[in-house]
Formats: sequence, structure tokens, C-alpha cells
Amino acid sequence: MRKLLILLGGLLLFYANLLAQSRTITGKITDDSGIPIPNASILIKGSSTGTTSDMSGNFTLSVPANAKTLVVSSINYAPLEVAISGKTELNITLSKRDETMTEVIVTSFGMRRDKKTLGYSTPTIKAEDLTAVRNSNITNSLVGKVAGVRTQGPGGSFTGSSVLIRGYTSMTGSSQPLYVVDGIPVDNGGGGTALQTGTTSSNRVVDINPDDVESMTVLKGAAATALYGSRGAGGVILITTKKGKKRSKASVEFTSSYNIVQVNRLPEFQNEYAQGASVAGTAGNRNASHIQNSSSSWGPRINGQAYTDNYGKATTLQAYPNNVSDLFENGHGVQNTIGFSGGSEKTTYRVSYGNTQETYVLTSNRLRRNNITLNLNSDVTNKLSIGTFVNYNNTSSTRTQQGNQLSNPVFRAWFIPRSYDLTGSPYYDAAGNQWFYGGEDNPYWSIENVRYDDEINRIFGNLNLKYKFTSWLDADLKVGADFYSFRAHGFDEIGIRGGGNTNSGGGGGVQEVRNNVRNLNSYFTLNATKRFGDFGVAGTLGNEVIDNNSYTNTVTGVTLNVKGFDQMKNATTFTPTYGSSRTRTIGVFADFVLDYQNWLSFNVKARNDWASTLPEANRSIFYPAAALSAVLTEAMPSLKSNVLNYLKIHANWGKVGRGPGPYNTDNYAVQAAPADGFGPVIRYPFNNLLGYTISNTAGNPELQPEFTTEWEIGADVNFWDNRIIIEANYYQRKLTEGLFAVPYSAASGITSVFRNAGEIETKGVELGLTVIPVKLKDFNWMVSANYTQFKSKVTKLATGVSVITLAGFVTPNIRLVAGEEFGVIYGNKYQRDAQDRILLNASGLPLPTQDVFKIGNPNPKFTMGITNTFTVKGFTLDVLVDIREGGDIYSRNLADLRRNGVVKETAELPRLDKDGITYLKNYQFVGVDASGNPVNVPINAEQYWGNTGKYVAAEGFIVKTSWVRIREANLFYKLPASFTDKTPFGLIEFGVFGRNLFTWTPDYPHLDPEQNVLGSSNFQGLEFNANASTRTLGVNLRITL
Amino acid sequence: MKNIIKFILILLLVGSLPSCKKYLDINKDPDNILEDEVPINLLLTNVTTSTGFIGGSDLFRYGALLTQQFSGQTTGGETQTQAYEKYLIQSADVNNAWVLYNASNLNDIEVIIKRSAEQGAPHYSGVAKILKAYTYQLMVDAWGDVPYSEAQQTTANLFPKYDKGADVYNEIIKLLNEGIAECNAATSSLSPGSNSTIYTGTFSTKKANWIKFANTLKLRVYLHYSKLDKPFMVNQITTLVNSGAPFFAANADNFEMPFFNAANRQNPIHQFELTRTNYLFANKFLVDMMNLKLDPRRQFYFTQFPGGSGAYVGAKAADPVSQKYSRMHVYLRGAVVNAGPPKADGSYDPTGTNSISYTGDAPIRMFTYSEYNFIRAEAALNGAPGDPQIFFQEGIRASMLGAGVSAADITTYLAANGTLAGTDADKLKQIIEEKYVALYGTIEEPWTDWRRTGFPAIVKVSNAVLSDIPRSLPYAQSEMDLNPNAPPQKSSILEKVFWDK
Repeated sequence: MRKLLILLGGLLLFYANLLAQSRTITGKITDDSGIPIPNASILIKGSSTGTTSDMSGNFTLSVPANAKTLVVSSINYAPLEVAISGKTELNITLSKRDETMTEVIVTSFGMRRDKKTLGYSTPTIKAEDLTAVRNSNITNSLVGKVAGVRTQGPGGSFTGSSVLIRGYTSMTGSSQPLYVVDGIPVDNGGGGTALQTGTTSSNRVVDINPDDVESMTVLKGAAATALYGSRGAGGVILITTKKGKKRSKASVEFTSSYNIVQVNRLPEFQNEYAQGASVAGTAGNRNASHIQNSSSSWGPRINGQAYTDNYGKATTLQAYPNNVSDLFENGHGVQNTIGFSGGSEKTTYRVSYGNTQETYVLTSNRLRRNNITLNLNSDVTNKLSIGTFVNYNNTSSTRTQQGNQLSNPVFRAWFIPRSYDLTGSPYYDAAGNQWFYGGEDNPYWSIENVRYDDEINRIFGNLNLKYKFTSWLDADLKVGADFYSFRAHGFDEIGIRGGGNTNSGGGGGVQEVRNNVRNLNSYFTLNATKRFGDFGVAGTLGNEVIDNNSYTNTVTGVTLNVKGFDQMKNATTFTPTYGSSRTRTIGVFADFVLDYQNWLSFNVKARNDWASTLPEANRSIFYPAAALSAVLTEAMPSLKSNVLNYLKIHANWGKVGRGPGPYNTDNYAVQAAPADGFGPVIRYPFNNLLGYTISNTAGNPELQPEFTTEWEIGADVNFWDNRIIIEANYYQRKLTEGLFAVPYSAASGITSVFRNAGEIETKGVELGLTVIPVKLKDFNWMVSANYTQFKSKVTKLATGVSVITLAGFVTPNIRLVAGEEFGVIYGNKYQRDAQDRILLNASGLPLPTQDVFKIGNPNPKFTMGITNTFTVKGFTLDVLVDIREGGDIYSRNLADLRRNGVVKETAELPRLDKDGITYLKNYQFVGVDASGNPVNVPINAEQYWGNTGKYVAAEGFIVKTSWVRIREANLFYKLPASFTDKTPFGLIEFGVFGRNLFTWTPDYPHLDPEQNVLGSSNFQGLEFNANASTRTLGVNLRITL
Repeated sequence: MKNIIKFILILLLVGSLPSCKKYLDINKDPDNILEDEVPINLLLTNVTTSTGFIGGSDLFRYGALLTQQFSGQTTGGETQTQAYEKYLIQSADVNNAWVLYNASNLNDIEVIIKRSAEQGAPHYSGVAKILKAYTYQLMVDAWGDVPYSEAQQTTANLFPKYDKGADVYNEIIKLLNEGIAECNAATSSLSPGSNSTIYTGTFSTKKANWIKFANTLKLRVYLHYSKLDKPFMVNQITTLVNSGAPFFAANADNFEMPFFNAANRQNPIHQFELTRTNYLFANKFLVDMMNLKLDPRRQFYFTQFPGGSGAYVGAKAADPVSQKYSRMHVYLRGAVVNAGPPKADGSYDPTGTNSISYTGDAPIRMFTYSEYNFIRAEAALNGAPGDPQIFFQEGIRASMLGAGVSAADITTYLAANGTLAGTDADKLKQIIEEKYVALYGTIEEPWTDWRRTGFPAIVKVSNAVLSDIPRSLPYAQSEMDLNPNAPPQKSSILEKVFWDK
């Protein structure tokens, strides 16, 4: 009936228009600074009659006599209603749309909230900022862009970044955020690295095609993430996919990019001294000797001496300045996506196909990805709409070994002796066996013969039903799934010297890994929004059910029979392992917002979880949050001026958590594998027998989740015509009941008990600043900067536990120590006397301490990202400067480069006498002997830099990672509409971009300090034989049809 | 509207629905066995295997490097074996061994003892107690004071106190007596059989081996008092011998663990040579000692250097980077599979073309019949029953037979070196030096002999970081960090264990 009335009403209006007399109005539309606005829409209010302004902002419109108001609008400007009674000529000024006033934010579970009423900050990164500089892994696009988020890449190939939001929220587990795509969590496993075996994997967010992403919203604090309950502690990254728009014509969007990948930095080498070491010479001198199986370059001065090389060939001694750089090549990246989208009155669609291929600077590292996505939304009736999103991808990669193992191609390559022709030397002997002078794998042999490849087939997506009961109440049901099957295959050729994939002890091996993940998730929400006079109410009630299931099946076969036969059937000894995991969580939640006159709002949230991983008695866990915000410029309009445009303050408090993993509540007997730390191991079945041992980690029937409680205050201020926008937040958060395997004396019979014991306190400041210094007709300059500073301090470990070693070696390692910042670096130091003077032995050399001490803190003081955007006509130039201050790392590469005498500084002072072999004693350590007397013993370069000198203590290679780098830069040009209008294309954009274009590291020579041997884990600060960091340069193109 | 309210109510109640409990009761790991349900025979298999593994692992390497049976080497940076050899053994270095002994072996032994009592299986308990005694003997000799009375109580006592080494030694004898009695039990619901990887076989036959081992182990324990309280040592051994207790009587009685020619099932000393290439070479001290006597065991102990020359060359601490030395050979690595040619410089690689490859199935010899004879020889020299000369020769003969030496070579060697002569001190030196050679590859005992007797007369290495040769191991760093009831860390590893004072 109502429909009929509307129809009748419409008809009546139509006739009224026809009957009315009309007049003509002309006008000009400009912005605040008088610049004409073309293509603005001018509509007669209440009708569909209207026109658009021309290039000079002028328009002419015939209006009926009874028309009273025009509605003028344009993209990026606030719409304006203009009274026209009695006027025929109008000068209309539009103001830039105040984004902060009207922005609608999708918070948790698809809830839409007016940003103004939010009591917490929710930074969002738009598609264009994610894809202007191409990254195959979307986590890398977050780097430097969001205040409060610290990101760091582990280096190497196609790996993602470690994303740390507002500090550490877990003692020994991951603090990585939860990734949610269109409301449904997606698995982000992987990204870790085994220290001494295997390759680095990509974190699984790599499966998302960045071109399918419309925006990423970062929920940082506990008040923002409380509704995610026991998964919200590390923050949440909400990814919204691109969708078709209603009432839009069918369009095709094609994006394509190509880039090259280069080594970001290569060490500066000396090319004066040959491979070798010191030997006893005449008259008590040490002489430099050319030793052909030495891994060092402490040999004689190179001047064309004749010698017989390792292969029996007569040759002359010479330097090979490029013997390291020649190992690397240029990598390439290609990304193409074609998307079809459109929409009718009721139905929208988007279908896309994306294709990515990337290679790395070390040959045989390659990533391939194919994505197909489908987004469909349809209003079935006025009340019911359904939608679906499906992503299918196939991602495969091949990789070389990483980490501190002899099969890592760069384990030795960085410091290959200066006189060794790595590229030109054979690496097979006549019998086809590996040939290399050292005990490691030859880098080239390793690349060819130690292989790894993996492939994933993954489907994730959701099905969505929305029902609108009334204008103020609707319900939303979403069921999502994330399925994948992952397969990895490793091959180690017979004669391998390092650990490789299978730790085969030289016999060669094959490994097959099958990992299946099936995560199901559904949520149901009821959403109500209503205004009662000055009060507005928005409320949501919901529940969520999560069912995650996975298994991993690994078979490792070692001792191969036939060389080169890459098949499990070639192995003679097999070790199968199988592990599975199943967890379920049920949650109910509520979110309630009350606002007064749209300027004051109060938000309470709560969630209750029941998790299967908790013992039955502790299963129910409650997570509350509250937030208050006030837009003071609206509460007191007198505050508002030309200088101060907008002022909002907020405060919030919340509590979130993280549940324990499965199967930690009971004691188990597990299959045994006696081993020492050096490789020897016994595996079962042993002589057809099985061997079990009681797990060294005892179960705990009293577990509960760990909680992160946080309060935050913040303000948003806009000045001078919104040309200066400041967002500032201060927060304090505290992890309590921190879960970890609390280590205990092994003499108790166990080595750890999983417990709620630790506490971490984080205090942080985050600032966002946007300034538009220049805003002219044809030139616009915008600076947007973000500043992140937080300090996570371990305030409590378990009773009786003073330290937890998280990862690493006897020295150095990464530890949690009560009273210290999270994850400090421990290692041995140089021995010192009571006055802190370095103790030297009679030979003038330093001595290492037997015990380990804190030698570094890997946490930076602050990080900053500054993006400068320049717009000139159709050109836009973005430059992202990434700044990091502080943060130590133990650099094994640096240690190796120096102790082996290959880098420039080791030849700074002449090493040898004129004869080219007698060592000169040009160096001296400053220190004292045990009785406090200065030791003045000159030493030679090898003693100073070599194994007995600086290298004796880990302390000597703790380096600050502070950097300033041009992280991203891109220049793109959008062809003007006047041109594209004449073509079938809607939009043509092309650009050039670069990543890591410039890196300045005042304290860190030779290499890029953005490295971490432990991958994208919490544990930062150790670099061991890291792969090369890269720089990319590329071009991209975007066309719509 | 009524329906909506009803739905909300259901939604809120979902957590307390009865089906919910069942839905969430899935937290039992399907891939492992609950502790209370694991069969004890599976635990014993790993206890015996792990005991054998330990025999060729960390503590073996420390002892063998400290007593100069092996020497560390390198091709690049300093290796851990070089660090140990110059006495740089740090508290964190022993963490792994400490965990393996305590949390794996002893804890599993404790569970076996407890569960076999519940199940009426004294044979399991007997074997477990004998293995427990052996493990504590190794631990006291290495560390001195160790947790015993409060150890292995898991969550009931997470900070066990340390007991005096002397007290633990007393407990070892008690454990052995209990173990022997339980092995002799007439009935047992379960008995170790083929699931024990040491003395594998029907328990009715193999129990004799366990009992012989337990008694011979008592001899070893008593002998360790030689420096602290010689009369006590002589007395105890005399009493034990006169009691008619059965001891090892042939090499077949050796307490050793067989390994197999399959990756990850091989002798751990051999595995170390594969995974840590160029970390260990034969030590000059041992090689020279054997060269001097033209010891026929060299061909089984060491590879030749230069390859094929019939000569043997040992390395020593602080030697310059080189691989031009003899390596360990068939006695520790099993039979030769393929002998590649040596490199041009006469040396062998541990793996690859220019290496000798091995089956890796040599046993780990933890306590041999040969050692038994040397114990008896030393005891007899001090007044215990028997003729030292006979035991001395039998010790050498057993060792040579075990290595594969021909009867003729044994006769020749004994003719030249088989007679004890001179003062008692000279004779002791002869006994311990021969024992030192015979115990090549045996965990800890040569180090213990040197600490007790000062023989063989090894000299502090030239690059030592300590003023003398170490006499114990540091307490594990994990104990210092985690156990408030642990004693303070030793001032240095020159500190002595109780019987060394």
C-alpha cells in the first residue's frame, strides 16, 4: 500500500513539474580559495532534475517556478543546499568535506559506527596506499603507515613483516594481530624460521591479493578489540575486500605492475689480502700464509703469486672483487589483476583474477600466486539481502635454505675469501660429488642440490544474510570458512654437508609435509539504531562460534641410494610424524552506544567466551570495555574558529585476552627422540621398537587465558581550515596472567609447566599528523606523519623464575628478564675489572666472560613514518620515509665479515710488512691486566679482528639498527578526464615506484639491519647469516573500462 | 517483536546449554598418550636407548677432550670442541645433558618404578633401579652434589634441594641392592624382554646380565673411594668379592648399547663425526702413547695419517687449522663400507669422496669386562683379593679382543707390555694407562681415573683458560636460573667432587 502511495506521489510531482512555469538560473561553483569546481552536481531539491558544472565551474539550469532550493555536491566537498528564491545568478562556494565529521567506520563484526562517536582510534589504509608500491605480501604494506604499529621484515624472500600493535601481549607466544577478512578471521600461520634447518616460510596472509583489498582498518587497543575476546589481545586487522557498487555500469579494472628486485646493500670489501691465516714465521714473527682451505682472508698481500689451486690447476693469486655480488642476480616481480564489477539496483558483483610472480636475488627462489575472487551481494527483498565472498588461491614457492646452517647459500658467501673465485670455481668433482674447500656446502651446489618447494590451495570466504526488521533493527548472519591444504617438499642431495631440509648427516634426504587447515566461523548479530530526541542509541547483540581444525603430516626419509633421484622411495630410513589440533570457542557479545546530541558518546562492550582449550571450571571468560568521547567543538560552538576547526577527546578502558593452545591441561607421554644440541639423535622406531617418554612439559588443569587490560586517552584536533590534523593517543596496557611454559629445574623431572604467571606493562604514545603546507589550484603538498613509541617491560615472571630464554644460542640469546624490556639480548661480554676497564691477557687480547649478561635491547626507542604527497595536475608523488631510532641486534654477518678479514676496515691499517707476509702490529686493545696495570701490547690485524680478538664476546657485535630509509616512493600520473572521455577507458593511471630506495644506517655498516633470524616472531635482535635485503623498482598501470 | 526477544534470550543462553559442554570437551590430544595410560615397556625402551645415547653424547665429549683422548679442530671459527678442550666449558653448555639425565631418563625411571609397583612388576622396577644407580654415578662424578632425595617429584617439588655427592653414593649402593633383589623376584606381572635395548632378550636369561652389571657397578663405585678413603675401598671390594657376587666374566657381559646401520639409529659418536665434520680428531697424547708401544688397537681406533702409510698422528690443543691427523675409526664407527682415497695431503674427510664411510653400528661401551679387570687389578694391588698381574693382563686381552685384535698380536703386545713392574705407584700407573687406552670411547671413567690417580700424566693444554685441568663440570645454567635451592655456581670447574679430595 505504501509503495502505491509513493508511486502516486511521484506521479503527482512529475505532473506538477510539467505544469509549473520555469526560469533559468546561472551560477559558478568554486572552492574556499576561489578555484572553480568542475563536474559538480546541481540538483533541484526533491527532484531528479539537475545538471553539472563545466570545467570553469559554471552551470546553467532551468528550474520550475516553485523550486526553492538547489543541492550542490561534488566529490571531496561537503554538499550544500542553496536557496534560490528570487535569484537568477548564484556564486556558490563549497567547502572541503570534513572527513572526520562523516566517516563511517566498520568496527567489529561488520558493525558500522560513525567515527565521531568512537571512543578509540581506528586508522584505515585505503587501497591506493596499499598498492601504489607493490608488495606480494600485504603485511609489508603496513610498514611506516600506522601510528602505534611497529613492523619489521625478517629479510630474505617473500616473507612478511612482523606486525606488533602497541607492544607485546604474550610472554613467549606470538603477539601478532588477528586478521579478519570481511568479518571472518583468516589463518596467518607460518612466517617462522627454524634456526638451524630448513627455509623461511611466508606468513599465510601472503595468500591475499592486495588488489582485492579495498581497505585495511587497524583496531589497536583493548577497547577497540574487546569484542574479539580471547583473540583480541594482539589487535585486529580488518580487511575489507573490493565490491561492486549499486547502480554502476559494468566496468573492468585492470592493474599490472612489473618490478625488479635488487640486493639493497653489499659489504665494502678489501681486495688487497688473500685467503689464509697466520703461521709461525721466523724470529718469533707471525707470517701470513696462503692457506687454501682457510675460510679467512688473513693471507699474504695479493700480487700475482703463482700457486696450484684446490683443483690442481696452476694459477696466480688475485682478488675477485665481485665474488660475492656475482652470487646474486636481479629478481623480478609481476603482478596482474583483472576485476569485473558492476551493480544493478539490487545486485552488485565483483569477480577478479590475480596473478603474481616474484623471484628473489638468489636464484631458484620464486613465489607464484593465482587468486580468483568473487563478491556477490543482492537484495532479495526490501528486507532481506544476501552476499557472499569467496577467495580461491593457489600459491607456490621454491626457496633456498636460511639461517645458521651450512646449507644456507649465504652462510659462507658473505665472507668468501677475497682471492677465491666462487663463481668461476667448479663445485663438482670428476665423480659428480660436491667439491668445496671448506666444510660447508658450496653456495652454488646448495642452490642446485638442496631444494625446497611448497604449494597451497586455499579457499576462504563467507556467506552473509542480512535482514532488516524495521528501519532501526536488523540482523546479520555470517558463516565463514578458511580451508587450505599445504604441501611442502624438500630434497637434500647425497653429500650435503649442512642440515638442509632433513638433517640427513650427509646421506641426503627427502621430506614431504602435508598440512591441512579447516577453520569454520559463524556469527550472528542483532543491530539496533534509534534516536530519542537528543539521544541516539546504537546497540548490537551477537554470538560467535569458532571451530578450528588442522593436522600436519610429515614424512622424512634419509640416506638416499641414487644420486639426484628426488623421491621418497629413494630413502632407506623414514620418520613419520603426525600432529593435529582442534579448538572450539563460543562467544556472546554486546556493544551499546549512547550519544547525546551527536557530540558526546558513551560506549560499553562486553564479550563472554567459552573455550575448549580451557579446563572446564575456567571455561567461561568475560571481557568488558568502555569508551567515552566528546566532540568539544560541537558541544561548545564558541570554541570553533578559523583556527580550531575540530576538537574531539576520548578515553577508554578495556580488557581482552588470548586463550591457551590446545592440549595443555593434561600430562602426556610423547614419542621420544634422545638428542644433544649437535645433531646426533635417535629416532623411533629403533630396531622395530617404539620409545616413549613423559613430556618434559607438564599439563596444568588450572589454566585460564592471559589478559591484556588497557586504558587510553586521546584527542583529534583540526586546525586552520583542516590543513593541520593531529591525532594523539596515550595508553597504558598490562598483560596479566601471561601464559607461558614456566621453566623449572629439570631435576624436578620436568622442565616446564604451562602457567598463567607473567606480566608485561606497556606504555605508549602514538601521534598522527597531517599537514597541508601548500594547497594551490595545480599544486598540492601534503605531509602525513605517524610516530610510534612504546615500551613493553616485563614486570613479573613466575615465582622463583628470574629469566626465560626465548630463543638463540648459549651466547647470544633472547631473554625475558623481570624488570627489563621485552626480549633483551644476552651474551657473553669482555671481562672487566671493578673500574669497568677491559681485562687483557699477556698477549694483549680480551677475555670473554664465562657467563652471559644483558648486552643489548632490540626494541627501538621510536619509529616514524613520514609520507610526503605532492600533486601537480594529474601527477602525484608519494615518498614514505621510514625512521627508526635505536634497537640493537647481534649481527653474526658483521662478525663474520670482520673476523675473516674481508671487509674494508680490516685492512684500514697496513696488515703486513713490505715483504707481503710478515704481520705488522698496528693494533692494540685498550685495557688492563689483572692487577690493573695498562697492557701495552701491540697486536696484528688478525689478532684484533679475528677469532681471538673482538669476536671472543658477543658484546663486540651488538649494533644499533637505527635507520632512515626511503621505504616507499611512487610517482603516478592520471590521464585527465578530458582525454579519457574520448576513449573507451574510464581511468588510465600509470606510475613508477620503488621500495627501500635509500637506506641510511649510521651505526650499521655493510648490510641492511632489517633482519631477524627468527622470522616474523616476537623474538627480535639476532641476525645469523641473514639473506640479502632487497630494494625494488617498478612500474605499474591501472586501467578501467 | 516477541519472537525477537525470544531469539535474543536463546542467544544469550547459548553458553550454558547442556550440549555446549560436550561441544567444548575436545581438549584431549588425540596424537599422544596420556601419562597414566602409557605402557611402561615403551618407557623402558627409551630409558635404555637414551642411556646408550648419553654414553656417546655431551659428557662423553667433555671427558674425552679433558683427558686428551680427542682433540678439537676447526676449519673456520673456533668450534665448541676446541673451547671445551681449552677448558672453556660454560654453565649453559651442560644444560642439554642436565635435562636429558634428569627430566627424561630419571623421570621416566621414576614413573616405571612407581607404576611397576602398582602393577606388580618387580622385574621392571629392578632394571629401572639399576639404571637409576648408574645414571646417578655418572652425575655425581661429573657435578659432585646433585638433587636426589627431592628430585623427580614433578609439580610436587619444583625446586629440589641438592644432596651431598657422598650421600648419593650411599643411595647408589642401596638402589643396586634393591635392583638385584627385584630382578631376582620369582614372579613379575611383566618383565623386560626384547623391549630393553640393553641386554635384549628373555628376562629369565638376561636377568643374570643385569645382576652382574649391578655388582660390577658396585665395584666401580667403591673404587672411586681410592683417594678419599683407601681402606674403605679395599674393605668394600673385599667384602663384595668374598660374598660370591657374580661379576662380568666375559666381553659378552659388557654393559653396552648396540646401534644400527640406519640414519638416526647410529652410534652417537659416529653421528657427531657426520654432523660436526672436523670437530674431533684423535689426540696426540693418546696416539703417541699407543705409537710408543706399537699398540695393535690403533688400526681399529684410528685412521692412518697419511692415509695408507700405516702411521698414526694425533692433534693437540692450539694446533693451527689443519685436518692432517688421524680420525676415529671402526672401533667407534662400525665396519668400513667404502674406503675412499685420502686427499693429496694424506688426510681424510669425515664424509664425502675422500672419506672412509662406516656402518655406524658400533656399540656405545659404557662399562666393559676389560674395565672390570682393571678395577680388580687396582683393588688387588691395594690388598683386595686376587692377583693384580692376572687381572691386568685379562683387562688388556679383553680390550684387544673387543677391538678385534688377533691372538698373535695380543700375545706380542702382552709379552712387551703385560707385566706389572716396579713400585706400587709404577704398577698403578701401568694399570691406569692401559685402562685409559682400553676405555677409549667410554663416558667419563678415564677422567675419573685421572682425577683419582693422576694417571695418565696428562699436562694442562697450552691454551688453557684455567690454571689447571678441570675436575668437575659447572652446574647447569638452567639450575642457576631456575632452582633457588641449587648451591651457588662453582667458583671454577677446578672444584673437586667428594671422592677427589
